[in-house]
Amino acid sequence: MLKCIIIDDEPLARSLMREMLEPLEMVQIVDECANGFEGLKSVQTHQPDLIFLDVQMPKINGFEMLELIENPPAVIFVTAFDEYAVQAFDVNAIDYLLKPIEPARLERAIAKVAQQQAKGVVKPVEQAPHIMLPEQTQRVVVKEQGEIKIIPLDKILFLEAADDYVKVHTKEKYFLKYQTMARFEQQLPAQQFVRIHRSYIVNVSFVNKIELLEKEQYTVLLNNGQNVPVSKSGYAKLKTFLGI
Amino acid sequence: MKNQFSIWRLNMTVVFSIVVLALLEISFLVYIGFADWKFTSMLMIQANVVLYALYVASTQSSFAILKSNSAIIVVARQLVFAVIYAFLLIWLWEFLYRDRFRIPIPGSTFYLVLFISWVLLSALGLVHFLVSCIIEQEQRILLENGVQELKNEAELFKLRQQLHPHFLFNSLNSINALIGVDPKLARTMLMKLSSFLRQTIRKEDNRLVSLSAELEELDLYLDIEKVRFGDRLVILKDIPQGLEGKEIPPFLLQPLVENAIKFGLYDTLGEVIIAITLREEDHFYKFEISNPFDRNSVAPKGTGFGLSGVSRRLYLLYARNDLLQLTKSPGKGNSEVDIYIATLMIPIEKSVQN
Repeated sequence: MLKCIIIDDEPLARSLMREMLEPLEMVQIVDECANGFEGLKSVQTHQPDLIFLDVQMPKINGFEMLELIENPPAVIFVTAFDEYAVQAFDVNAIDYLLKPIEPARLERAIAKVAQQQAKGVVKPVEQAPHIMLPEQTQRVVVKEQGEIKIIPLDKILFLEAADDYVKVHTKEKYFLKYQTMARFEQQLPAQQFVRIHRSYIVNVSFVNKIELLEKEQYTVLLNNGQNVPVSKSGYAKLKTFLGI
Repeated sequence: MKNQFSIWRLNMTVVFSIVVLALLEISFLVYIGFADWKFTSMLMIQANVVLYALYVASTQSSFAILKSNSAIIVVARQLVFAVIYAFLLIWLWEFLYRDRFRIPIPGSTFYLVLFISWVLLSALGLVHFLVSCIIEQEQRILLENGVQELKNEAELFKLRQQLHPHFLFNSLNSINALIGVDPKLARTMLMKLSSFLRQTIRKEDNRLVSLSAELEELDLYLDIEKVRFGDRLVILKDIPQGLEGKEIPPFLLQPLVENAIKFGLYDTLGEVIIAITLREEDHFYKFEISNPFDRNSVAPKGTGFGLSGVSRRLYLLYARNDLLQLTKSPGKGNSEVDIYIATLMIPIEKSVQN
């Protein structure tokens, strides 16, 4: 039995999905959600085996919602238009269904999930390079005590690696996000963010000056007075970036 | 790149022709015992270059004429010019070299040399002319291909825009859902969707369309969206009666409303109120379309595709940039949500671009 959640912002699309899933014996619908916020909460409460996820949704899109789940369940993307197909496969979606959904296609997708579950293969969300939706290039979505926060890129001072997480530092505080530095480096616009250290990515618009600590040891002083370490190669990168 | 290459090729042809022409003239003059080649060479080549440049400059305009006139006129003109330049050439040569700066009196050899020069110059002129024609032809074909390609691309893009794939497939999906629960409504939706698509596809770009037809189409679109998004989408319309016979350019209203709906729906979580008002002012139809948005929203979609497309269209139609104004105003009560207002002014006139 697969516990599943339907996440779509159009009520009719949800009811259609329910109608199509109900006759299937191996699926049990535990919840329906109208946006990523509800979706995230529901995933945490119900711990489903499978989610049907729409891409275009209010506030945060399906991909962003998925980023906020630490151990995501299997995902089947459901969307009207195939411009996101590549990305869906990059986040290792089990399948990708186009609306209006073909029943046979849906059954095949579910069979695939059931098969993987039987084998005990846990599909993690792949942190692979992928194309971005336009809105994702302007913001970072994080979670704080179950609440979703959307941080504009120009509010981010720097990012700091912290084990499996990354600390996203803003002027007021930092937020933790379960994501790798490499992924961040790739995701953030290169004309604004520079990886200056194995554990640090800095927003260059906040860089006040580069200080020499000791021989070949540099640190970046930010506008708000914080210091961020710079590695040797990071210093070279920063120098070429600033054109000095 | 292509263009530069062709000009280079043309220049090379000219230089080559001048050298050949000069060599032919010199050999001829030496052969008939008119001059010895050592003294003649430099002078002849220089005189040829100068005169040929003048010759080309004066006939250059005739290439342009070719597009509208027949080639015969151009060729005839070339032959006449060739006579003048051959005369100048020989006369100049006699004046500078042979008679040592005395004004020459033309004799029978002079006319013979003149005739030969004329033949050679004409031949050269024709070669030049033909080469230019070929090059021009090539360039025209290239240009035409490019223009055609661009046009096709634009058409495709337009078609895609008109078909609204995202809207279309989502609507089809909604209809699919309705077939099970409310077949009657499904049928109505399908009819509305068909009418909407038919109208957008049928519309022509530069013609004025009836305002009431545009508003009808807008209603179709809004009805479909309301079914899709259910209670979340609330439309408030304030549109006066008696708009029969009034005309506006197409593709202005619906994109703006579509933009407002998308913006509202994807930027907020709760109920989305879209207010549409139309007023007829002295010289304008004034549309106002408002939607809620999150003040703290990250992506300032202020110039989303819908808006930039409409601005572009307005600019193409009226050469004005001030017909679409965007303003923000604080929303009441709820502090997170503000109101975004797009104001569209469509000049009232008899005809817009035929």
